[in-house]
Amino acid sequence: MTRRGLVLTLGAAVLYALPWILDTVRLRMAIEILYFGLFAVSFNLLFGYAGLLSFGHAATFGVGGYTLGLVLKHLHGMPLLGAFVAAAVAGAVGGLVIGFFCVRLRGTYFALLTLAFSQFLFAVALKWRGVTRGDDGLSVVVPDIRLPGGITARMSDAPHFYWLELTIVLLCLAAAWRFIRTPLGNAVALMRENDERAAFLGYNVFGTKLVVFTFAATLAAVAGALFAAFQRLISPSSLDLPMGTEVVFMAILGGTGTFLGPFLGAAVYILIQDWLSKTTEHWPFVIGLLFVGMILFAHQGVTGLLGRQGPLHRRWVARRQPVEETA
Amino acid sequence: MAAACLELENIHHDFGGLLVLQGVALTVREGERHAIIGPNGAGKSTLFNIITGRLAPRRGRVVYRGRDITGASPHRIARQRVGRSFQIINTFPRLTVFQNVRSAVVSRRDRRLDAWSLLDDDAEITHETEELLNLLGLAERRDTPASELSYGEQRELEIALTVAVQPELILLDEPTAGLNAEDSRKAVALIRRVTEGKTLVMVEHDMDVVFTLADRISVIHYGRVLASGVPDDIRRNEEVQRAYLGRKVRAVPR
Amino acid sequence: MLLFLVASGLTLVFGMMGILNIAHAAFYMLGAYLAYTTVHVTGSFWLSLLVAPVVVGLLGAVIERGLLRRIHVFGHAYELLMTFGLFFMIQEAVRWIWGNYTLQIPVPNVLAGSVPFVGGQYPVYRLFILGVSAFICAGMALVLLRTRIGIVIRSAVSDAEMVSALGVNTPLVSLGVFSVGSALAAVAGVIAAPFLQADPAMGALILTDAFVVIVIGGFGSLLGALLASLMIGELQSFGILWFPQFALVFQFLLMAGVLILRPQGLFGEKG
Repeated sequence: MTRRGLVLTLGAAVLYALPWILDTVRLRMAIEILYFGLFAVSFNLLFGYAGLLSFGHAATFGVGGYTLGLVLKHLHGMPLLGAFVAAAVAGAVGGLVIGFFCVRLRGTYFALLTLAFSQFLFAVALKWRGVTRGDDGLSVVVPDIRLPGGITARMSDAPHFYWLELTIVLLCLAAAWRFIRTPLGNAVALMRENDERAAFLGYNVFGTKLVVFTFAATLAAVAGALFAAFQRLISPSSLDLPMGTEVVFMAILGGTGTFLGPFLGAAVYILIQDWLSKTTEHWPFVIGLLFVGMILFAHQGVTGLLGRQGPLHRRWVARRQPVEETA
Repeated sequence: MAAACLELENIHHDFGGLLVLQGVALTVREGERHAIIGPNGAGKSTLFNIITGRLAPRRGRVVYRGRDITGASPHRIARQRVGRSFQIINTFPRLTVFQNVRSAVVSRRDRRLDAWSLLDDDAEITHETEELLNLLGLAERRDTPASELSYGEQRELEIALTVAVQPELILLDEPTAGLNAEDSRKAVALIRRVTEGKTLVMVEHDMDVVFTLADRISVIHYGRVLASGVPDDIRRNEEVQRAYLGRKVRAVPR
Repeated sequence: MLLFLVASGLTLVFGMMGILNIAHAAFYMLGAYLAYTTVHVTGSFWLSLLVAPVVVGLLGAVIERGLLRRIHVFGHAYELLMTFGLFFMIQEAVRWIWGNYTLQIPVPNVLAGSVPFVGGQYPVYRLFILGVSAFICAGMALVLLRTRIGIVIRSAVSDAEMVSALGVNTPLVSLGVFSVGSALAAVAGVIAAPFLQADPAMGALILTDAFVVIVIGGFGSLLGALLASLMIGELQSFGILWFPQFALVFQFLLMAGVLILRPQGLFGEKG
């Protein structure tokens, strides 16, 4: 096994062992970090890799969550994994539709249109009480999973949920990681650097951007489904601006120049927020200050800082970059 | 007489009322090296943009090997083996030289939509890319980000990107702009090498380059084709002399 | 018309500097809260019309010079993110300083009450809002169309590079436009305060409305902002009356529609 393979396997083993290492409270935090991390990585596929800043990424996050909830509610006997698949499909469809309109725009226009779509969906979720229960939120009943050998994985049991979630997230991350190393994935970076030149080399800019938008949307939907399954509730706030902007914070905080940077950002953000909210009631201000400060002094995020200072970290981080650092 | 590779029929274009091209008609034959010259603002770049689909002309047709490509989108035209370079360096700045050229190779091999295989592991693509780098003398700068190259090297990369897709029709927009005499000579040799057996249309200001490379020349003046023919005829053409060559001509950097 | 006051500053700044200043909504909020404090300390509403714009205008200048200009090299995306971060920061700072609840600002006596108007009683204060907005709108039109500064600003809005090449101190113009734009937002906040109250969510609420307006009206166009705010204002009144469920939804559909079909809006310039 290569050295990298060994490191990855050890890392995975540690991750799977966490329920035996962490107490329940910290485990719950780890669960949150996992789905927000996936959400942030999917956002970065758009921002860091494709150069598209979306303020409406919560759109398919919420769609995924609602799909899971609605499928579990109305399709009796639907296994949990089936519901996740449905959420992913819904995310893909949503991404395709929204992306179709958004991807031909750029910069501020793109950001505003993604915002408009996510706000539109927010309004729909809020008002369509018949289906979504509006402001009250839709409660999500998560069925247990029957594994072969007579074992039942109870989703109300945090470790069981964690293992399911970890597996799903690792698979999604692996898929995304592989994607950016394919010719199509690389094409995305071309679009970011110079989409005009890419067109003159024969690349279909619109099509490529649409593919990455859809892929990112699908991953966001899976993250949203995990969110809904864990919280046992999905409400319009999952589609609202605060959710859409939190993911931006996380990605910037962690660093948009690397694949896992945003994941790290999610972890740091959740930990900081947890600590801050216990320290001061004015923690949102501190978060805002942190964000502004980061853009000013460390816009490459935590991974950027580590990269400059730690050669070991730089190697670890650099290995994961298929293209040059985004700024 | 060789077949027509590129035909421009009655091209008219204006920018919000400012007439830039009036009834431009031109034929470029297969395998020919054709230079388009004319004073600044005469409409040469606009013409290039129209040929390559960046702009759609208000009137007129662009016919490439018998197919009407007027106003077609750039990527479709590119896929028909038409390669174009830019006057202002237009590379992928933060990607390395290798990654830049590789993107063109991937396109040539129609692997743009490949969402499964790992690009870095593809031996054939890597090999073809490295061969191109060698051909163009950029092999040593393989891992340098494009934005960190010297100006001369960036021009070479420009040309590299243009020919890596193995186009049959090559359009070069002021390929020697801003180059000193030495680099200019190298560029001309390079251009001659890579356009062997292909059709070349080139916009140029440097008359030395033009008369060295071109088989035929067209002169654009005030949005019209003033004259079109072999270099000697153009040199002797009185109208052309009066309008363009008669005045002191320097390679004007844009 | 309040919407116009807010949107006009926003659209000017976008046209001039290519930045959508999300913090604009926070300036509006800050204006309202500053009005509250001024009224409380001095008892004069009219004084707040002076204090708030000056304070916020200065803040805007500091932000433009100290922050935005520094990160300009990182690109548009980071400028946008910065203005968003500032919006959030200022909003939270306001909530910290004044508390996270609604504050009442009394309508000044001279403007209280209502008058008979077009078959009903119409609050004097609303006429005041209309009046001030119209006055400022006319004032802006006058400055932009008739004075030299106005011409400079308008040219800078359409082609900053060219104007700079002509020797105009474009950084100074940017600073000025940004400050004035911020001050305008504060004025809107002050005027809104007695009417809508100083509310912790007022920034976020006006934000999306303002976006819709400048998208429809066109980035950089004051006339577009005027027409679009009137349109949206009507839409909201009618919408709430006739289709309460759909008012919110429709607004975003409209915004999306414009961005899809005609990104430059009614009067904006392409690109």
